[in-house]
Amino acid sequence: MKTVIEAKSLTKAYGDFTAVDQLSFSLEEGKIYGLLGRNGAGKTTLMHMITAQQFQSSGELLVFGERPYENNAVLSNICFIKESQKYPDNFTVKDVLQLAPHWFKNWDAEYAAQLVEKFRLPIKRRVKKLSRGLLSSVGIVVGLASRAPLTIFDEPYLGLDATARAYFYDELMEDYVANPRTVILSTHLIDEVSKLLEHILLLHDGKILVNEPAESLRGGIFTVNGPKQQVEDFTRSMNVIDRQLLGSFARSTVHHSLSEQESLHAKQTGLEIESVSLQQLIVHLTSKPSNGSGEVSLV
Amino acid sequence: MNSRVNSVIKMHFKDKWSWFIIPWMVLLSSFVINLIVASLVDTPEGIKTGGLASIFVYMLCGGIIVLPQTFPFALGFSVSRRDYMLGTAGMLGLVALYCSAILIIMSLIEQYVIVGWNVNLNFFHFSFMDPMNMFNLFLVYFFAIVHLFVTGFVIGCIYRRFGKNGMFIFFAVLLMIVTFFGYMAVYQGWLGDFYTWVTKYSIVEIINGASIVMLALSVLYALFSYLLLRRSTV
Repeated sequence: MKTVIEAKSLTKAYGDFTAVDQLSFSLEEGKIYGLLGRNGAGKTTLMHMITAQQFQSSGELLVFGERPYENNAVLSNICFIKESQKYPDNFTVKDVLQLAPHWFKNWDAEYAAQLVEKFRLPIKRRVKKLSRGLLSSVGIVVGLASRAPLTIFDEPYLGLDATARAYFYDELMEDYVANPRTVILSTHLIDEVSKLLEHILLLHDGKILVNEPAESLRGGIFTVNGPKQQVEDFTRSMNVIDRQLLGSFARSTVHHSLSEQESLHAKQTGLEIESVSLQQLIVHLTSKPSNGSGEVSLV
Repeated sequence: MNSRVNSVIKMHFKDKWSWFIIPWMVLLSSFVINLIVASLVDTPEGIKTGGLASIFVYMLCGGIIVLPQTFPFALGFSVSRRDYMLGTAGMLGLVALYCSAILIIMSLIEQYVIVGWNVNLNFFHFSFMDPMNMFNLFLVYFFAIVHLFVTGFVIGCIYRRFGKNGMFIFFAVLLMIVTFFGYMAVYQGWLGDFYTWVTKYSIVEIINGASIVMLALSVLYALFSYLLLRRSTV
């Protein structure tokens, strides 16, 4: 499979503060990536560097095998939709949609028109006068209809109602299946999109905490509740990522694929097993301050 | 010209108001006021006004405004800095062409068709222009518009690249330099020397000389703007 993005020791520092710290990773073609992490984890900085809107302090970053800076061959294949996208004061929605085909070569005007209807965008209105939710919709329409080989959404849903968000996820999935491309979705509403994501890149304090297929994260994570001793016995040979004690009771979060025998054993010893959602897992992993040890091993 | 440079020109064209309509609304409002004044006042030598300057001042403002309005938008939608720069330069060329042409036409009307707008008003044509041919005058307008716009643009670039503080320091230093040379010019008698040197030439030669200086400065500012934009982020 072709590599779309390759980062080696990618670093961005602002004075003393290191927003992105020695990142090394590669993203493959034709997947939906979830770029997750708390505010200030370095997600937006990373996306700005991928699109050459910001410059790295050190390290190497290749997009489609080339450096993206001032490189039309790369830039014309990227569509980056961000929450902070600026529009000229006098531009209407129509102006934006008429310019988009010049910048995104796979632009599908017909599809854009369908989306405009679906998101109820008033195309003659000035972008500046749109509500927050409709402003987000403009970005979503451009992002989807651009069909760019690398499409990046940075929290594209701000102010969008639940219905419109559901539309967005459905459209993204449908159009992605019909027109495969690489999508990076940065979001805080993890549970809403967890079904869409194929691979998770979790950033924490500028470092990669998790870089794994979503499947392996979704499948084998659960919590075990019960008397302290039993929980400890049960989880002894498992990968425990979190442990909480409440008097004589314990609650452990474990990354492990349960066998049938093990579930039966748990039931017999009075242990309670609960599944953990992707969002809960991310909260778990990022609620502690980073100890600087880098990637958490989940496998 | 590559198609992405073209697309930047198309982007600017979307804002017809700022580029094509507002500058003429500014100029024509000044013109109308002067017309009214000229029709009320009856002087044998007629009325001369500097209202024409308003369109040039507008170009300076336009240059300052265009960058914050369109650069983050274009860069955010995958346009390279180089294409943005070239497209904006192309747009400026078109607008300067359009404005200079209309100014020439208005000056011809004032001179030959409706002489002095029937109220003895000199708004678009002045007697010192008489020795210049139309092409010469056109170039003078063209270079002046380009120069003022690019001056505004470089200010916008300094702000983009270095922010509020950079802007403040830049103008503080500029003010000090100008003040220093201002005093020097007076104390060292440079001003007088300059005056004697300049007045050796005819008014047309002076205007043409100034236009060439403006053209050279425009090129310099444009290169400097590009250097700043190359390192600008969104």
